[in-house]
Amino acid sequence: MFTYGKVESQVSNLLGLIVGADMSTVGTAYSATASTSNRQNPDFPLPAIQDAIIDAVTEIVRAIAETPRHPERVDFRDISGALSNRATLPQNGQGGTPFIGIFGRVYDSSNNKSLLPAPLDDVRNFNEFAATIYSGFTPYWYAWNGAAIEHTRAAIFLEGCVWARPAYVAGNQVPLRDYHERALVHGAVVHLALREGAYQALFGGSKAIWDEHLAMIRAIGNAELTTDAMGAPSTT
Amino acid sequence: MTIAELIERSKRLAGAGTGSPDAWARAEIDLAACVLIAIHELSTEVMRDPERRAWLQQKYTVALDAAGESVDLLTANGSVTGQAGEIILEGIHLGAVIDADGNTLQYIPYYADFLRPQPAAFAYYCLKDRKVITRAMNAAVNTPSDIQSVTGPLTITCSFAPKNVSDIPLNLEDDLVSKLVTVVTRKIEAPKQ
Repeated sequence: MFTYGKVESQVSNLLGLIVGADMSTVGTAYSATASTSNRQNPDFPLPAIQDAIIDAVTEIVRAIAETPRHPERVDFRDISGALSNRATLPQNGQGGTPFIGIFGRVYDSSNNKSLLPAPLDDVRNFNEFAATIYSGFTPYWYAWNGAAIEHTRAAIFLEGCVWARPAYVAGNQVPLRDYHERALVHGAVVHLALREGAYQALFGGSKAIWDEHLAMIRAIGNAELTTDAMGAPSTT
Repeated sequence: MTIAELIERSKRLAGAGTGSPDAWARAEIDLAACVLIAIHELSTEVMRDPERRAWLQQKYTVALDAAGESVDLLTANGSVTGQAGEIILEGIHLGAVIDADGNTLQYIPYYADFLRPQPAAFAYYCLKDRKVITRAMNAAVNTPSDIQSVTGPLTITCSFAPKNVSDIPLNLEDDLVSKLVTVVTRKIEAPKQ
């Protein structure tokens, strides 16, 4: 884990904001919590740097939340309240934080069994004739229908990612895994450097790193890890 | 076997060897809708096979009214399943109808013959209006008004089509799986012009 303050130090360093005339002074200023005494450039006020860092964090979380198989979705996981058939999709998770991105697993609230996506026609027809034609049959199906969900169980939970924009506190941990730190620094620079022509080269370099990182996040799970040819025979 | 097990086995049997994508993996609702058809077809097949008929037979105790007619046969509960509405009507004459005195009633298929004079050595039954109507033995009948009822209640042993998959006997389960697959994969061709 890494702190917001550590990210700010790196961003400020790339933008040339660290105050000091010698290595020792600059080093001390770099590691210190940012203030107007150790950062200097009116083109990049400290609040703007803080907002840019939060913006970049939010973009990474959004990319994770919009990638259905990303393993880091669990870091932002919450579930809905129990939803009956035709319930409106919830805005917030049980913790009160809004859902973002796409929903993940849909599962029965009584026994945790996963529901499978099915055509809306099948779900509706089953519910219509559940006591007669389909008596005794108990499928676990769901289908999206606009801003509602239809399903064949009594009540279900929706799993998804939740996010609320955090306040910047230098000593707080950034809610991302360590490998995001480098890209996060460049993401914040991308949000800041464009306004200044002198930083075009820096902006271009940071944007390349940032875009590549977001593309990598969104590509998770697109390619299957194993193919049919690699599958082991059933007897082994 | 539960209905879920039946559908799972049928789905796998129908899709075996078809390769990817397996269309039957998404056909559960189609299979479920055909379960009752498959049960009825299997039950009819079992009824017509003397070697297997007993697997889907049960007794029904049916009361008679003053006119010697039974209640609606679809309201009678079976001795094995306890369910009503399972009787296969044509299976009655492949079983037995016995009155409370222990007499086995003879079947008369046509109602007009039931009303005519018949040898009085036998008691008779006929099927009419979803009911069993009876005629006592040793009572001469010259006109329909001479007909007397047997002593009720009747004990009817006949074939039935279970409502629930779980009432299919163990040794007919494989047949039901095959029958369900046959029903859903059967293609009905439009008549050629």
